[in-house]
Amino acid sequence: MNIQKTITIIILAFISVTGFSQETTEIADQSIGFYFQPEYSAMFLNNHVGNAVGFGLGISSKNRKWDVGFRYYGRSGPINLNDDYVLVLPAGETYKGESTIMLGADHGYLGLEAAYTIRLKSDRVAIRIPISFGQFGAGFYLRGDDRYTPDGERTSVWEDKLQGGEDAGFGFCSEFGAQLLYKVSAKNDHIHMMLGATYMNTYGYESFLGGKDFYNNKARASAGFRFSF
Amino acid sequence: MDLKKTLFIAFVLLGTLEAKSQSFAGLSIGSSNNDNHIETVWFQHQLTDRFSAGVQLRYSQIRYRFVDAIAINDGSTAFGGLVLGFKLKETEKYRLNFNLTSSYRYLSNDERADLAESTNGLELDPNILLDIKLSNRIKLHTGAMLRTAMQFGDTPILDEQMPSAIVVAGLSYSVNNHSIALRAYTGPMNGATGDSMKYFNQVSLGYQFSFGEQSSQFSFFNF
Repeated sequence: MNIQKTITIIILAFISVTGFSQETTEIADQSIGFYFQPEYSAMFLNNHVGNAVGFGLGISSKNRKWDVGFRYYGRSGPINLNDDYVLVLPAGETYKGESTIMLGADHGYLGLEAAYTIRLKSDRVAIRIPISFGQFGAGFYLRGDDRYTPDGERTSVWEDKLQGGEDAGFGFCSEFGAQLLYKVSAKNDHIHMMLGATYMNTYGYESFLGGKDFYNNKARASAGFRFSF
Repeated sequence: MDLKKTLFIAFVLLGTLEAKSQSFAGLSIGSSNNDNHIETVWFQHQLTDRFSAGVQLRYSQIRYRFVDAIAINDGSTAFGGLVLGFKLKETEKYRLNFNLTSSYRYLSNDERADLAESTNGLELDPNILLDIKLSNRIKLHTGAMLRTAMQFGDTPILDEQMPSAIVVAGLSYSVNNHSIALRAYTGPMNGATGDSMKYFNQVSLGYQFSFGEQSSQFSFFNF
């Protein structure tokens, strides 16, 4: 038997006899915890209430008062169909015969998150104070049939061309706020409903349309769940 | 390889499936804004208390996918992949998992003659999943999917899809060795300088059968 076959058999034999304990040990709350908070949020922008979906995910301290993790959400175009911005093309320039086109806007955020949780007298209610800082990206894009370009080129090539390379940009973003946590069932410590309010600012990002402070000094309200242990 | 060696290896292989550890086999059907319908079959085997491995095959009829970062609406995809499951923590009431599905993707373009007839790609689906026991038979599953997709070939696009904030939610109902589950994904997507799905939705319904000695009250959940 050659070496290759011998190794194959050893590996398979190892797999078949690998120890398989049946433990489902209840780990005491003194260990590091975990949290996952999916959320929907309404963003109060200048002329539009934007819809965003995302989550927070991370670990909790042994006493469950401190969270450290990351926050990730996006205000995506297809769930913000009424968020239109008018782009007037330079004189003599057209796209599919039109000199004015409607663009959609979207943005996304990925940042680090830290939070402190205050327990109230009721063991079903808590207040969570999160702060977050991270990378922010936003842009304007062609919608609907406009995404099918006249020359078959990629849509992003035309978006870039029509907006003079300013169609998308990046910057930093900070958020802080407060969240109300309510334990859904007195018998289950792991599931809370969450309502939150967040204040945000961006740094180093200037929007091509919609004003320079498109995302500055803005608020968002969020609703979701907190799953934790 | 002679018959004796073949039989010996087959015997050892069977040993990996013997009753000491648990295995799962299942199938699901679903629909998404990528695909009109998706059919998935899988087999997963518990190798140790914390680690399982398996295979997953998937076929879909395209609703809205991309060839060379240009949208098409007609075609099909076939996936074949390896699924690794890691149990990070488990108690009586919950289990925390990290699952990684790595799939080869073959896409057949039936619409745009000016684009490649077919493309090859790779999809990596890391999932962080929390299973919470609601009752003896019903479990809630929730977590995050951080999918990365790439197109290979003449026009490689390594950021066809970047990890995005996609939320996973599901419910499963189990009786003895049988489980049915409803699973949904929703969340924003990005990649390919915007020439990608901007938002992803998927719903699937699956059935899973487990055999071998039960190692956990939580079934493997990666429909």
